[in-house]
Amino acid sequence: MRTKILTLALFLSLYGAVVFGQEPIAVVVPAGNPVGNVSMAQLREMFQCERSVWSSGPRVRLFSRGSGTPEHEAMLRAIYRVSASDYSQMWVMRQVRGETSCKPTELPSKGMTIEALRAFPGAIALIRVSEVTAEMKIVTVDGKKPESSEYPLK
Amino acid sequence: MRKRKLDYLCFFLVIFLAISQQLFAQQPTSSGNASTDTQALLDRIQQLEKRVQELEAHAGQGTAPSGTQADSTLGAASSTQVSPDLVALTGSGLKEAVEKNTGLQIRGFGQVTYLADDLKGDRPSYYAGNFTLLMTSQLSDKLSAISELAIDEEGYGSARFSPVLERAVLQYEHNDYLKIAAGRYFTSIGYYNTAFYNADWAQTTTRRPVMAAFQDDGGLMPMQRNGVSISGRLPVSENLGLHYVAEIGGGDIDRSDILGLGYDFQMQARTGFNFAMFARPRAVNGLQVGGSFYHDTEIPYITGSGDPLVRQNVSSAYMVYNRSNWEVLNEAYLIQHHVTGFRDFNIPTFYTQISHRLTPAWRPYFRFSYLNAGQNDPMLPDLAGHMTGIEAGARYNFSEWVGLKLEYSRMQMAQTKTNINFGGSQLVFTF
Repeated sequence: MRTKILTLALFLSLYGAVVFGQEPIAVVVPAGNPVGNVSMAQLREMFQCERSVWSSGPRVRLFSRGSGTPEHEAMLRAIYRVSASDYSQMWVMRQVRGETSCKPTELPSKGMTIEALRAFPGAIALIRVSEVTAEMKIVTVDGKKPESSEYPLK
Repeated sequence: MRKRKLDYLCFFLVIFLAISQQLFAQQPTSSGNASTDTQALLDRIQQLEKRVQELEAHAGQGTAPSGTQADSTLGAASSTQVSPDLVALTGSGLKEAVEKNTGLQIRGFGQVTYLADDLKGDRPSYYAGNFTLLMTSQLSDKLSAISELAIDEEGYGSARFSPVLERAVLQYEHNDYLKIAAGRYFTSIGYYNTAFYNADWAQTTTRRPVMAAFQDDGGLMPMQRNGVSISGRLPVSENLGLHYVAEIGGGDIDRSDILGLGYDFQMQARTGFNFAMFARPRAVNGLQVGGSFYHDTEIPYITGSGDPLVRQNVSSAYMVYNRSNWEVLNEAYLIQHHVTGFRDFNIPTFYTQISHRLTPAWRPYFRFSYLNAGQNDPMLPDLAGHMTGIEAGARYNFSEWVGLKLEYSRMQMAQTKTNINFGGSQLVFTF
């Protein structure tokens, strides 16, 4: 009896990890960016057009993946905290206010993310941890690394 | 018996979980099959990118990459015949593509309103309102332009239209703390004016609050000016999110009466200024608290000679909370007219608006407005005494871009003992 319950519990935990477990989304910048950590509040301000320049000088350029990707879903859920529909409407209103320069550019691939980080010194991109390469520098969020259980971009 | 029950339970649980896992596997994200397709396309792009890199690495040698299976798409191509589209999207091509995305963007806003009221002589009518073309362009990293051209219907149901330049601004963004704009702008008096601009589509209700209406719709305050504006964050208390706006501008005013009865009041306005501050505290997402002070001098056209000089002050304070499900707007204004050689008029006014999204499509709303105008104010000859208004309705969104508003409103004017009931609907859209 006890063995069966333990087996069931093990199965359920494995099932949860496979089905519900989500790969963390890394926040990456070019290797030359001296910033090693951003707070979640700062990250939100960057994505909300409130903070457009890095303290080191270059202009913030935001990059993510298109809708339907884990990066996009995490961005909506953790950073903007809106639905996909609200996200679309929000950018129309930002256009009305003349605040479109901070809209995240949607890139379709890891290769293009690497190119974006090369091309823009102020680039900041969201990318799945498994796709991070040596050319990307991961910045911690609120001091948490992507592997941390308290990492907010999951 | 108990053991057998547990066996059955385990068996059914395993079967259920296996089936549900299959279902989840088909829907890796909330976007369902579309996201599966997207992911497949993205994987494909990554394969192609890898292949391009391999081909580029061997380009100088004129040999095919070794140890890789030739890709069916690129296999026939030599190292110098790699898809130009893919090359264009790498390196400097990507930079250009990103910068092109911030080029000229055009968006249209339109509306059709059906309005009925119990004013004597009025008939229910359709009204096309204004059709607005919004054009924005990021000219460089720090320079951007925005203009808004509206084609307004001249009066309810008149079917006569005239073009109006609502906004034309060139903005230089030095950094987050200093942005300079010049041109025809919307004044930062209170919250509503620069939260919704001229976009009926963005408003929850069918009309702007009476005190925040445009002056050619009977509004009380200068909502648009020609001049220069400076704005930005204040480099204090990051947690408070303090911002400032300082504006200086002028431009004559052509104001209509508040009920839209066809009266026209012209005013010559001298250069005025406005200073506004607001806070968006990090601790409460969606909360904005602020205030502003506006001052100018105007000469209302009454007889054409010897008209009084009026010094106008508008003070405002507001607290709004706007998250996806809740919208709570509270604004109060004090409009002061100091009429040279006559007397002073104080016009307190406020509104409170609340709406809640019940479902993704339905959003009921309610607004209460109050206004207390003085007697014989040469700036507001169509108003006297208390005026209260209620607006109750619901907005239904057919999609992100199309909404229908159904509204009942009632305006009570104490001085003339007039009660006016309005009912109507408004279809709003953007494209």
